Amino acid sequence: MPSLSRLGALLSRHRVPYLLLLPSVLYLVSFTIYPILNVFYLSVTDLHLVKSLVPHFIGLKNYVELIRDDPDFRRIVLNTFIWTFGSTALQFALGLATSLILNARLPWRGFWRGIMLVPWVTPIVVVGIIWRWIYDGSYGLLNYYLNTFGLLHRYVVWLGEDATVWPAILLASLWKGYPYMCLMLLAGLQTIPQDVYEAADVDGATGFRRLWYVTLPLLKPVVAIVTLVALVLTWNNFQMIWVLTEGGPAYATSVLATYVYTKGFVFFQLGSGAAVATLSILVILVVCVIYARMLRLEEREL
Amino acid sequence: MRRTTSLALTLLIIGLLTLAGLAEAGTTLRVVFPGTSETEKQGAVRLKQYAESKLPGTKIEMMYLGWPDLEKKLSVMLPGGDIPDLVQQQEATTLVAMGALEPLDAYLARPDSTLKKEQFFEGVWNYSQYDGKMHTIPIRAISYGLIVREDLLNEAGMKLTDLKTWDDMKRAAKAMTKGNVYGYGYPLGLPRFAWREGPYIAGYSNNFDISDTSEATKTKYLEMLRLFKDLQPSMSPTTKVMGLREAFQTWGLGNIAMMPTGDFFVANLYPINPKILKVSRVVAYPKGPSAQKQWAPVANVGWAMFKGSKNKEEAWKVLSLFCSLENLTEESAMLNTPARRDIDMAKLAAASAKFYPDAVEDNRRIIGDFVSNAHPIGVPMRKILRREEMEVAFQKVMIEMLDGKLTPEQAYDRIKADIDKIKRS
Repeated sequence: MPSLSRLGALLSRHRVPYLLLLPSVLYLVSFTIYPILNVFYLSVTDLHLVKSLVPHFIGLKNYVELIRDDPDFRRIVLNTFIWTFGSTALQFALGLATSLILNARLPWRGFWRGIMLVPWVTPIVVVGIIWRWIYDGSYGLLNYYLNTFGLLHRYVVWLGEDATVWPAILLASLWKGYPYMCLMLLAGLQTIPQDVYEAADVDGATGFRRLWYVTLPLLKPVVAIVTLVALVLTWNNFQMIWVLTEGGPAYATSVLATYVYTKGFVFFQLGSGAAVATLSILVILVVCVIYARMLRLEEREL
Repeated sequence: MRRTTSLALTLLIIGLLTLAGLAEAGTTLRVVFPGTSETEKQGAVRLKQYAESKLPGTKIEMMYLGWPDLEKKLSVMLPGGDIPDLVQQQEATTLVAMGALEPLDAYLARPDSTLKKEQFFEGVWNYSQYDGKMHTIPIRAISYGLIVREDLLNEAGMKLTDLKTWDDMKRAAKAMTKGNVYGYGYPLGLPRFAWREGPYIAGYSNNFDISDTSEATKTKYLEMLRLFKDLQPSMSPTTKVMGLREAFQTWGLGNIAMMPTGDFFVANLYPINPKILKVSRVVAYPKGPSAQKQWAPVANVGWAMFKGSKNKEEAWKVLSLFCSLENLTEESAMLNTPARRDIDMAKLAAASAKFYPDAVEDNRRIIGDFVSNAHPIGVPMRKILRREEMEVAFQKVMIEMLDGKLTPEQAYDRIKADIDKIKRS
């Protein structure tokens, strides 16, 4: 009881701050916590809109069926890792290179910095449609130019062939996503004091050694945050793949986000779809924890 | 004091504005209108204006979306309690199974109902019945056939009347495949069309339904799979990523010579290239080795009312207007073949000139081709529960077979296993 009265006293003493916090808390509970809990609840039911609108508890059956009996599930998980880590790594590499260039003293630097943001501010569906036309197997620009310059002697169905579909999707994702990396890394680069570079110069560190031993270690906190954010965003990025391939041909480019949609809203298997969503949340959570621990470990070693 | 007065005044103004808004609003009906072509999009706008002009107190909120997205959208809206009033449907099996649609028999039985069974073609009317109850009121019939570029066929030394069997079709496809032109179009890229715009239509012409995997259909199924394997050299390399829209675009550019599809062909092709309609003809899909004659699957498009609609009386009035003779004379001129038998064909032809001014005769000829197919050889399309799941499984196997990873026999075993599993689960 004393703790309750202490809580009451605390609330009455800080009434205004708590009142100001209340809308945010209500929003979080209504639109984040409740949906997550509800997805988990649905995942242990047999809700299938075609069969019955009333969910029945079936325990972990949906999870067992997915992991043990679904012939496409393993491939889809693998695709999700290729998509997430491939996109993030490529975006980071290009974002870092671009940020280093844009951090240098360039003529018209403001203009280049502005134009670099164009892919990022273009709506993702528009980007997807543009890239679909670029990759079109009959009339696409990529085929046209590669054939015109003699680099290819046939038209390739970039989004339909096993060997080309993932590189094609990753390239589109790279174009869309690298400006975010670049922008964040550029902000990080500008926080590195100039005298550190001057000291490195005195010690004879130039070019690549300066990048490796000075810039990158000092950028590490920014790198950790932007790559983590990029991993989570890409993991859940549904639109780019859906616009480019709808997860096809068949399930060749399906990832967990598109599979949730297919299960839930194409097949109406809301229970099974919720199980895919729950597994997806758990896997990305584990990936993030491992990633954060690795970074902390490295920081300690430093 | 001044603050209190300001607050009271503000609240009063908000209250008055809200009341004024409510008084002005009348009834708003939410209507889901699916379509894939620009013509259909115009049709949605026209229909909204038509209903609002006839029922001044009613506002129509038209929700236009692509056919493939229709059930996906509804599967999100309905369980969440976000229920529209009316929906246009091709096959309502899933929505009926979900218990989402209002049976319309009681409304039709009312003495003041303007809609009567006798006004409609019997087969088209019957297609709207699910478990003996009317769940949609038909507005258009849909029949399927094989579209052929007559000029290319003639250049290849064949005539339309030569396309009687699958062997004739394979011969024609091979002969018409030259340069950038592919003899046979198959939109394998999206599950819905990988199933329907090819194997499903071919299946009917081999006397079976591809969702039927019983032993009795095994030979027919294998014949159908071998047909597609044999046709593959005449298909575009982009087949695997081609949806129906892309297939129509490719047809519009003159790069496909033959393709099975429905009588929504003109509505889709006209905005892309109206000139190509001049050389496009429709024949019944040739018959397979196990069939005695050609068959054409026939379905319909109709309006349905949601059970959860909060404005059922108003929705029925609007539905009756949508299905009225006046509206359907104009609408049938825009899309497909009429569902009502009392439509004056001369008026319909005149109305079609508004929608297809550069292809009046071509549109009439193509729709005529479809109608003449549908009547003597039309069979109602089978209603398949959980078809969406079967389509995805089927598409996957067809891709593997056409990629050379599976023989038709292996493909059959996989399709049978997958479809049987869906039916069992």
